[in-house]
Amino acid sequence: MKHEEIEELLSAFYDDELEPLQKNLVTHHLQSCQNCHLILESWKKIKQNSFSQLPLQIQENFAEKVMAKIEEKTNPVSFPLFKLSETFSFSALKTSFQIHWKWLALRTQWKIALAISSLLFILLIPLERNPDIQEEPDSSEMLLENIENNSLQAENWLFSETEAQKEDFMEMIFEKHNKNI
Amino acid sequence: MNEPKSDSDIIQEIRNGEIQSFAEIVKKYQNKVLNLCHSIVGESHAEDAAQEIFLKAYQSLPNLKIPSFFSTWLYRIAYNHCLNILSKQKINKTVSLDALDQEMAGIDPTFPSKLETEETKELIQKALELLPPESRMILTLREMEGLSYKELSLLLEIPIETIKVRLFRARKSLILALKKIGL
Repeated sequence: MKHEEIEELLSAFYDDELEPLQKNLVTHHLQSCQNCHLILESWKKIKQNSFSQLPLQIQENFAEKVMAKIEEKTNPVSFPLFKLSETFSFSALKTSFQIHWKWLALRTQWKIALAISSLLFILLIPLERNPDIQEEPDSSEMLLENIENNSLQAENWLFSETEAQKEDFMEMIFEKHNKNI
Repeated sequence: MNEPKSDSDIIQEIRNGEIQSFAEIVKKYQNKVLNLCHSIVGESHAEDAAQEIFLKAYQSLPNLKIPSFFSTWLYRIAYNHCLNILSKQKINKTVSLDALDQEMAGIDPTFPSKLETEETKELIQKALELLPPESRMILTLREMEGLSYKELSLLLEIPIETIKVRLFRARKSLILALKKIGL
């Protein structure tokens, strides 16, 4: 194996991530190559000197700060007064809705959807007949009612309506006449 | 004695509406995330970066398909976030990959001993800053966090062979950068 090929394996050898065969090859190479030894040694010193720093001192309230930030983003109504304009913006509400909707378990989503559907159904049921609204009376009946007052109108109507309607009108006339008798 | 809850259990609680359970996730991973940010973006930006990472994780939780892989997934968010920060930072010069063709041959026998001193610590930091962001990230994840090649492969979604090559090039670049700044 060429020196360059061995050198490329040095990093994985250093990390102990080589297959046994390759590991043996590199081990054998290191017995005779001072330069590769120096490279490995350098990486070791760099790690010790630079990557082994003490852990950062974590503030005790870090988690609280994170939760406060989350609360800020997902619950717009808890914003301070000067942020009310953002609170009521469509995008803030939409984002809040989307985040909260995704969080709900599927069963809860179904329950909410069913409740909303039921409410809409109830609201869309046709209104009861308004007793104040009177159906427009059949023109024949209206005419019959007013026939005594306005016979001319009745006569005009009689000559303008269809044959079927005229027959209906005549029947009503006869019925009324028979009652009077 | 109660066993600590698994990530999957905590995530399930959050999905059932117990948002405050996310604080348990934060407490569990705050050390790792903060130290990762500290080593990559520096002490002054570490806390802000870590807060943003947890916030992104919370907002993206609905997209997490396998809760048991939460730690890898969180690392990925941290990786991407830190990479964004690094990319935005002004880096005047980075070690050119062309320069990697230069052999690491002929290393001064006294070179490793120079790396032990306290003064060299600062030089190593400067050399790290000269590396391209991806090289710096992968080196930090390996050396600082001790992630195995397999874990790195899962995290970065690249094959293990590619991890080997990238780490080799990152380490070679670091040596080159140290030579460049006069060590």
